[in-house]
Amino acid sequence: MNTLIRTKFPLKIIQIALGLIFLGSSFYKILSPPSFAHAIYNYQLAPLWLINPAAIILPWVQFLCGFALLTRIGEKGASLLILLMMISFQIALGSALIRGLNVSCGCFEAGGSPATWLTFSRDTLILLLAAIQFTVIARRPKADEAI
Amino acid sequence: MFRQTALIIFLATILGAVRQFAPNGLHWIGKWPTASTSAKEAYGLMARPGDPPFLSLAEAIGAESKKNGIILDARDKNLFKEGHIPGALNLPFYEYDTEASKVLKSVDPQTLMIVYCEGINCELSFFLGRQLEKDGYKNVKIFYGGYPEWKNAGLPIEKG
Repeated sequence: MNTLIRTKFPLKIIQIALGLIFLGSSFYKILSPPSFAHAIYNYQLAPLWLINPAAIILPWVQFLCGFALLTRIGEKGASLLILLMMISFQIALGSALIRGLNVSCGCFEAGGSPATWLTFSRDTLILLLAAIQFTVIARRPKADEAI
Repeated sequence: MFRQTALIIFLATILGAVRQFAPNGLHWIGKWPTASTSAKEAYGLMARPGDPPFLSLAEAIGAESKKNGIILDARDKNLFKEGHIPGALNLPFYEYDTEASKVLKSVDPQTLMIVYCEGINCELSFFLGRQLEKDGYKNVKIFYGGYPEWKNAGLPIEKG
């Protein structure tokens, strides 16, 4: 990990990749909150009162986190949020797969792709990148931050 | 770090609230189907304007017994094999591009198409119904109670 901290190049790639993924995944949700709310409902995990607030706020959290990683403005807070979101998404996705639900992933577009073990593997990789990103960035000295 | 986190959530809440004034917004408080909600009521809550119309269990039974139209199961192949409505054809929504031409070969666009999936927690019947209408099929209906409603009514099912 120390080598990673010293070697900034791979971290920059990870940071840009995560930034783009989160920006990309926020667009359809921002354009169509009802579709995203429906996707959350289908997972049958969130309390019903939480579905609409989550569908309204979460896409913007994703958008701002993606923006923060790309611009390095508020990147520490964004890294923490991205890690927490990825953990939550993986719990939801894994639980849906274990329960045998035939749901859409709700990742990048409404009904765009099904929730499958392949999706789960892809998101595990993103979670791993988010964990590396967070661990490295949380140790970064304040003087090295953009803001 | 926590200050930045709080700021992002705060900004996201403001942006989300402002977004609600644009078209296709969502109310903060929503009404969602629960286990006790009827299929028809759940359809009313979940359907979008322009979606294929609702079909009740009684109408689905009538269509199945009279062999009126075709019944399409939008779930994946594994769930279809575990059990489906007798005579239903499997057209998994996520395999539409590859399967539709085979399953819908020589089906007249005016044919009644009854689409179902896994009940009120399943969106695939909406996705498939919308896609079929987009592709020119004029008589698509959604049996929203789906396979669970059919099975729970003690009606015969087919496996494999």
